[in-house]
Amino acid sequence: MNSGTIFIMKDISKSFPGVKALDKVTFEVDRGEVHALVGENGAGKSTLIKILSGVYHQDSGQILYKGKEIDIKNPRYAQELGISTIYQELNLCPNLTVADNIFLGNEFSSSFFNYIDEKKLNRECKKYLDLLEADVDSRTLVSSLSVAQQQMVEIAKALSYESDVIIMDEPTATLTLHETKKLFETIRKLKEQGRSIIYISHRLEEVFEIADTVTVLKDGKLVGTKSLKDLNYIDIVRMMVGRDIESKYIKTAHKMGKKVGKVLLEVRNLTKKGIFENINFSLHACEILGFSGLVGAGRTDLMRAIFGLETIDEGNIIINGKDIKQFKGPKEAINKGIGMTSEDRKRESLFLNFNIRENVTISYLDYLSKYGYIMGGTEKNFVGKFTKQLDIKPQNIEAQVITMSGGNQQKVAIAKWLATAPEILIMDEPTRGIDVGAKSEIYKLIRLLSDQGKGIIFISSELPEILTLSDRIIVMNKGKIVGTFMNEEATEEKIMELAV
Amino acid sequence: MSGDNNTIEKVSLLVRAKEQIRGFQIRKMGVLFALVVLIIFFSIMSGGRFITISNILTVARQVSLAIIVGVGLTFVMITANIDLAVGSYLALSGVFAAAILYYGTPWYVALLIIMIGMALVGVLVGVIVAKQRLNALITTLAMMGIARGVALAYTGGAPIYIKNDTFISLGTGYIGPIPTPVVIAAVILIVGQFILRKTKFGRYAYATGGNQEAAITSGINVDRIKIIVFLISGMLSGLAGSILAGRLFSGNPTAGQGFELDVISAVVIGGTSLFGGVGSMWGTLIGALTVGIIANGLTILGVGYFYQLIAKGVIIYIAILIDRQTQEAGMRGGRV
Repeated sequence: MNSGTIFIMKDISKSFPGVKALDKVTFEVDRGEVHALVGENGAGKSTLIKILSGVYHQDSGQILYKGKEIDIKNPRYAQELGISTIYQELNLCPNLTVADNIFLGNEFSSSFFNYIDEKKLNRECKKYLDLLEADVDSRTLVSSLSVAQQQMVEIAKALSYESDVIIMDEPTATLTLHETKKLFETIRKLKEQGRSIIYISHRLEEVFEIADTVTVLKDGKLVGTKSLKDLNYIDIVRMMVGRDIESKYIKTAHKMGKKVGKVLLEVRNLTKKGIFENINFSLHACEILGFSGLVGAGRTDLMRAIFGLETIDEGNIIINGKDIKQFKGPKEAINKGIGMTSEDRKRESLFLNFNIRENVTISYLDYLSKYGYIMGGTEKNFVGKFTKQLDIKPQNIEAQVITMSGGNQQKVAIAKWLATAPEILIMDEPTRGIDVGAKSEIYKLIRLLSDQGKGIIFISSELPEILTLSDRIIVMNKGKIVGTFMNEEATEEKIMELAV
Repeated sequence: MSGDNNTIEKVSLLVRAKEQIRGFQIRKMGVLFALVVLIIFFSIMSGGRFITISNILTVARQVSLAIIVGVGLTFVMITANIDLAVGSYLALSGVFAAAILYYGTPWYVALLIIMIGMALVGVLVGVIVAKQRLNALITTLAMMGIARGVALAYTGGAPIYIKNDTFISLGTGYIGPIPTPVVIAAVILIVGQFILRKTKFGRYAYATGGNQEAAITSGINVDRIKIIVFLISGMLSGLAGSILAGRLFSGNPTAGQGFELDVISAVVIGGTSLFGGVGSMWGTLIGALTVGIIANGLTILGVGYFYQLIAKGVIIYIAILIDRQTQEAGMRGGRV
């Protein structure tokens, strides 16, 4: 090992019941480098990281840290060594303040009675938040922060440990472009200080922008570690998938001069005070209508209100020319032909206690039952149609969704809404946290649905996908519509100018 | 492509392994195994007094009340709620059944009035929990006190005797060779399992407890589901209270004290999750048998009531521990 190496994980293997998660993987990271770790879902990235951070223990293989062989017994020990992890799922206590969270287990106590020096705590906390340029007050409760702000707090927390190795698992999954830029600046600062960053992301554009080196895993095996200077986008995808996939931009690209159909949904002067204001737009059959904007611009709230999950103060919703003012609840919206996949699929879409079949039919049981009795055979045949159409794996419809990969879980969530045969489908961040292969399948599916005559509202914080897929793009900022573009005239710059 | 097939194979292997760990199968098997061990233990220790026809019938008769109420509570707990008032409901319904029968009312009219009345009490609790969004634990704790208080106040603390023979036979009679309460419990159990597994309402109950947010987004009226589960719990408590009153020849305002703990233990031992979304009626049957056999076995062995309470507490602890560990096994390695 050379002098620049901070740690090396050698021939690491780890098995779980029925699956070999890691097979003799060697992973070496230098001081002061940003090292990207990529691979499809199930490739073993998370397992490798969890071994390094002490959550799991390897079955075999050794870890050399700063030249010494060590045994990372538990997460606390990893942290003491200087290895911090920011997980994709946030690990904050919602009922404590930002400062309390950042210094949890690490408080500035004076010698008497473990008294916590609040002033010093808040001062120290502000230091880290300022470093991130995070617009967060150290005294606010975490529960009142947006997801993006909470993520910033998580990052500040890792900084507070003064760690030499900081692992970031999909840190930008919930951040806006602007916030991502800030994060990258921070990462560069950390790098200058000689810290090593392990950066896990599904967004290869980001990997190219921020990382120096990349390690690719596939099916629990090491494909290779290479300097990013020697690679291009296609090279990495090929390493990850083991074969060429058709570029997501070709098969799914917007068709020039495409004809759209009649108006399916019209929204007039929709207002919910303090959340969104005076919203007007219409959605046509066969149309993919993109909604762009920063996190917190009010897109999700607007869609939830249209779907009957939140009340509105003023305005009308018109479906197929009929003014229904506002839906009393999701049930009514579903009956009028609207479906909505939400941005947080585990929290709002899926039932982890259910199998595929039960998840897919939950909104359609009225039509699969007689006098309240569910007709088992009819239900099975019905579900089989969708699992085939969406190519959901495993094919066994009795498989529990908790065991499935993110991409397949998302397909189940979509299948649930296709089951109700909606004319209008609202999809809120449908590709969040899923790998390249699954993303391209979701894009194809969205394109296919619009070709079948459905109107699709597509919310995304990733500009490339919104630009490729949408026929028309609406930009929201602080609860207002600030611009509408046809696909031909939209560019990343134009959208960002309005969104920020 | 071979790489793909490999992945699919691994995933399906993983799925199968997980299903075995996670499903109620193992959990139920574990409890079933414990039940068999208990039966063997008591049979040997009691020197034959445990396995006799008359003792088996006694256990069955005792357990049937816990099963009837347990079916209702299983619905409640699958929606991630709880009903602590069921013990007090037994007293309340017994007392009022006796009061109604006092006026010479036919037995079936009295039973019907009590079951409908208790169903309405359940609806009240359900409305408070669902619409006013009060915690079920606190709401039913309050109702536990109120129901017991009403029963005591109405009777002045003394039992009201029942003279209607048919009503009494609900608790003491036989249908063929089998005690009437056992037959009633069997019917309730089968109907309960059918509703839980085969109907829309059952599926919605699992959905409500499994992920309430997702249930709302899916168009399920979760408030209605919650109200109905409390209705079922109240109604079945009314039925059980009437059977108990028959067995005691009276409506007794102190009946069913601590009964809620037996039933909750039974349901949890049977694998119904305290966090909602998971559970079955067969599990509740096994749980109720376990609790009943422990009480009966200890009595036969001459262990005093005080020590029985301690034993029960320890058993609840173990059951909840198993519950949590199986939950964690299900979660572990969800993302690899």
